[in-house]
This record gives sequence, structure tokens and C-alpha cells, in this order.
Amino acid sequence: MRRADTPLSCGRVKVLVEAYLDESLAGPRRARVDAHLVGCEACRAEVAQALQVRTALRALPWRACSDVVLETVRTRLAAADAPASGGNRKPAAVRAAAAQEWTRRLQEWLVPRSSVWKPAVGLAAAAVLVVGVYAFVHRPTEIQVTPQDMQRAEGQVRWVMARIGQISQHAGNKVRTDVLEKRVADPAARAVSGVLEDNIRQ
Amino acid sequence: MQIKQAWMTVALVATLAGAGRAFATDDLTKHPGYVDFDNIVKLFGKQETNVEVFLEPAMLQFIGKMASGDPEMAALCAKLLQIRVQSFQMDSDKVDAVEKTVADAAQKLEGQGWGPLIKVRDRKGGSQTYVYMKLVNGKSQGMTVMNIDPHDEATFVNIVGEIDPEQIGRLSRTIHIDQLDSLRMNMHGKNYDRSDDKSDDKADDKKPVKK
Repeated sequence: MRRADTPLSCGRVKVLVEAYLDESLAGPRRARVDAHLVGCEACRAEVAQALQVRTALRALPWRACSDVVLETVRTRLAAADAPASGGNRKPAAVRAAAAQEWTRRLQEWLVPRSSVWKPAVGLAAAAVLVVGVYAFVHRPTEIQVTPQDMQRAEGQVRWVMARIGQISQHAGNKVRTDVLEKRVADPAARAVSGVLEDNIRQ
Repeated sequence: MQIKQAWMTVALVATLAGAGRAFATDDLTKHPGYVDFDNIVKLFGKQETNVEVFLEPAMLQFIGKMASGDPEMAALCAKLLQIRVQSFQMDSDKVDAVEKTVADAAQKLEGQGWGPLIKVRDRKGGSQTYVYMKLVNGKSQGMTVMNIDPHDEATFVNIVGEIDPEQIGRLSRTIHIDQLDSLRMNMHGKNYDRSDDKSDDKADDKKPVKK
């Protein structure tokens, strides 16, 4: 059911009575009030009473405002509109209209009217969120290096270099030992053994 | 309305470009000199490391600028981006698995363009030593050392950045490893409290200092 089709409650009609009597209610809403009044005697009486009060008030005689009151009001209005430092300040009504215009423009910018822009704005918001989280997690940390930290880090670098040197040297020694054993010592031993065996046989 | 759309497009593109840039920076794992030892390290499970060194770019750059007393050290560190060392006590149950994984890793490194400087397999003792260097356009980008001694420990070193093996040689000759073993190594690379440091009681220890 559309909202325009739902019947109005008595409480809602009481709120709308003044606007109804001023004829400032828009067509559909006015029609809903009319529809309610057709079926609700209490509200009809309420409207009739309000109309009666309004008519009675309008029938009261007009009285002219005294010059003193008029002058006081004018002075206060002028004071309210006067610039704080004596410059050319625009009247309050003009300023209010300008502010309203800016608000309207801002809303036009901020509220995407096309459905095409909604995902784009969502994507941009997601990207900003991701970048924000990443920047927070990977924010540059201030390194406070004490002389002890420095000395230790330098010692670690030296240790690493020395360890690599030690490993390399150890591997080199191993190669030399292996090569010597296989290519020099073992053949030499075999050759000496062969010579000795030959001598023994002879 | 067209101006509005143009502005929003520019903002969107700028935001996405910024996001991409944020993800692209500071990721050393993409550096050609970086080696991931995770496959090897997980073989040791929750076993405590004998030595673990992790020096970040900021600290290395700091040493590069501040180590004025040793120009050789300053020159070396200024070009480095990261130093990682992990050393584990070898367990006889794990020797075969570690040797196989390290041999596979060495093969993989060669496939990725790492050049071997040292490859030694000691069939008697069972130890293995691999030292690799990564060169890109003739310029070194990193060095990797994998050393397994089945009766002692396994050591894995990855140095990311421009490194000259001759510099290592010169630096390693200036200090004897046994003297350095007396240093209590920082297990996490930074903010280590030395208040309980007892370097002197380790001076005669031949092995890297245990945690």
C-alpha cells in the first residue's frame, strides 16, 4: 500500500487542521484530510470549531500600533542588521537567502542523483578506507636509536659478515681436503703401496 | 553537471592511484635480492633459534651514516636494505628433511637467476654449504647463505641490497668469529635490553650465542 492511500489518524488531522484551513496543504494530503473528515464526526467538529475561532478573530476591530512601539521595533531591527565593524553588510534576509543557495548547491554535490555514481562513490569510499587502514598499519615509526642500539646493530652486522666468512672458509677448507684426499693423497698412497708390494714380490 | 562528473572522476582516479602506490612501496619481499626461508624454517617447527638477526633498512641506513669510525662498515651498510639470519640447532631426526629442502631451495634459487659462489656437499660429514649471489644488470642485489652441519646447526642468511663479497671478506678478516660469538645477539633485532648482558662469560664459547 502506498503512503498516500493510508487513512490519516485523528491525531494527525488535528495537527494538520491549521494548514488545512489556510489552504496551504498540497493536493494529495488535502484529499486525505477530506477523506478522513467524511467518516469522522469528531474531527469535523474540530475543524468547524477552529474555523469558527478564526472567523471570530478576523471579525475583531483593527487597532493602530502606536508610533512609540513602531519606532522601537524599527530601531531594534536596524541594530540587528547593522554591521559589527561598520562595513557594508548585507541585510539578514539576503544573507539567509545566500546561505540557503549554498546549502542547496552543497546538497546537489553530496547527494548522488544518478545510480551510476552510487557504486563509484562507494568504491572511492572503500579505497579511502583501505588506504587509511594501510597507512595506519604501516605508519612510519619513529626510531629512537640509542648508542647501545647502534653498537649492537653494528656488532650484529660484523657478526653476520664474519659468520659468512667463516662458513665460506670452512667450505673452502673442505674442498681442499676432499680434493687433496681424492686426487693427491689417495693416489700417492696407492702408488707407494704398489711400489712396496712390487719390491716385496721381487 | 559535466564539471561535477569530471571532478569526481579525477578524485576517484587519484584515490585509486594513491591506494596502489601505498601497496607498492616498502615491500622488500618483491626485491630481487630477497629470499623467503619460510619453507625451510617451518621444518624446525617451534624450535628456538640459536641466533636470529633482523636488521631493517632504517637501522642499516643509520649505521651507514653514523658509523664514521669505520668507513668500510659505513659503505657496506649504506647500500643494504635488510639482513636476516636464522640459525637452528640440528636435530638428527630432521637432517634428511632439512638437507632435501635446502637442496630444493638451492635449485630453485638457481632457476631464479641466483649465481652460486660456493656449493659444497661434504659426503663424509654430511654438511652442505651454499652461497649465492643475485646479480641484475651486473649489479649485486643480494646474497644468500645456507649452511647445514648435521652435527651442529643450520644457518640461513639473506642480505638484501648491493653487496660486494670482497667487502665481506675484508670485514670478516678484521674480526675473529670467536670474539664475536661473545656478543649476545638480539633475537628480534631491536629494542633489546642489554642490562642482563654477560658478554664476558661467553668469550670462550665457539658457537653463536644461544638465546
